[in-house]
Amino acid sequence: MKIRRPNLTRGLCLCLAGIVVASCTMQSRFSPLGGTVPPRSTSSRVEVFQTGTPTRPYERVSRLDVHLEKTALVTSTFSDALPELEKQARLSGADAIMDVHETRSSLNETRIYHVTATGIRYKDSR
Amino acid sequence: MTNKSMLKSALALATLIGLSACGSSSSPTASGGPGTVFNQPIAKTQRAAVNALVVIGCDIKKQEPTYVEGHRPLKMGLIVGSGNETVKVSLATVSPQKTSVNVKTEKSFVGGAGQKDWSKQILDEMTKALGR
Repeated sequence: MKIRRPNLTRGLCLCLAGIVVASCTMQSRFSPLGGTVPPRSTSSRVEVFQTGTPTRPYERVSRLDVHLEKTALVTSTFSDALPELEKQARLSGADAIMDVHETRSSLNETRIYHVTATGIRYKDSR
Repeated sequence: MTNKSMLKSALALATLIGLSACGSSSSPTASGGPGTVFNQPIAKTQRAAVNALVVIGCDIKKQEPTYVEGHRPLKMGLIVGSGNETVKVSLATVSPQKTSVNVKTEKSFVGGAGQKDWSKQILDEMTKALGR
């Protein structure tokens, strides 16, 4: 007679999923480059230049950092970090993001992903 | 060997293992040495140290002109998590345009298996930002 253990399997899956979710961490910050710029509203749009530079005149206002660590061999991508990058850009008063640098490394089962970018403010937007 | 002496030996061994597992360990190369010299003023080098700590996932706990300290939060894993290290960066002026840097990683007992010495990464990151 075959013994079925659906509850055990489901429980194990839920437990694993719980660990994976609980083991994901995100840290973010911005540091002003020079003077303090007032933050922008949470609904304002932030342009992202993953490559290249904007054509409008701009000034660099902040360094932006987003750090993601996930265990269980789960990796992170730029799209995982983008919402937080945009949030930090708004907080630093930036209109756009450029100079995006991604760093990946690993430690045992932990996958580490870090993005550094520069927040810029258009000179003609004041 | 009697049961009593075997028990005594086992207790002594367990105590020894327990003692050796406690406490924190630190990088032997990072502490007390002459340090890595950067051809930059101390203020600029300190900013680079803060940025390097952030890049490796540290929360900045102390930020002084000659000292920066960060802590990597502990992460739970399926088998081995990571984090719970404290990284300390000491800075000293060699000349107005030269700064000596010492990096020390302190590992803690909790999560020890998933910890590493971050000194090299910190110095590499600072070198990228400052040059040498």
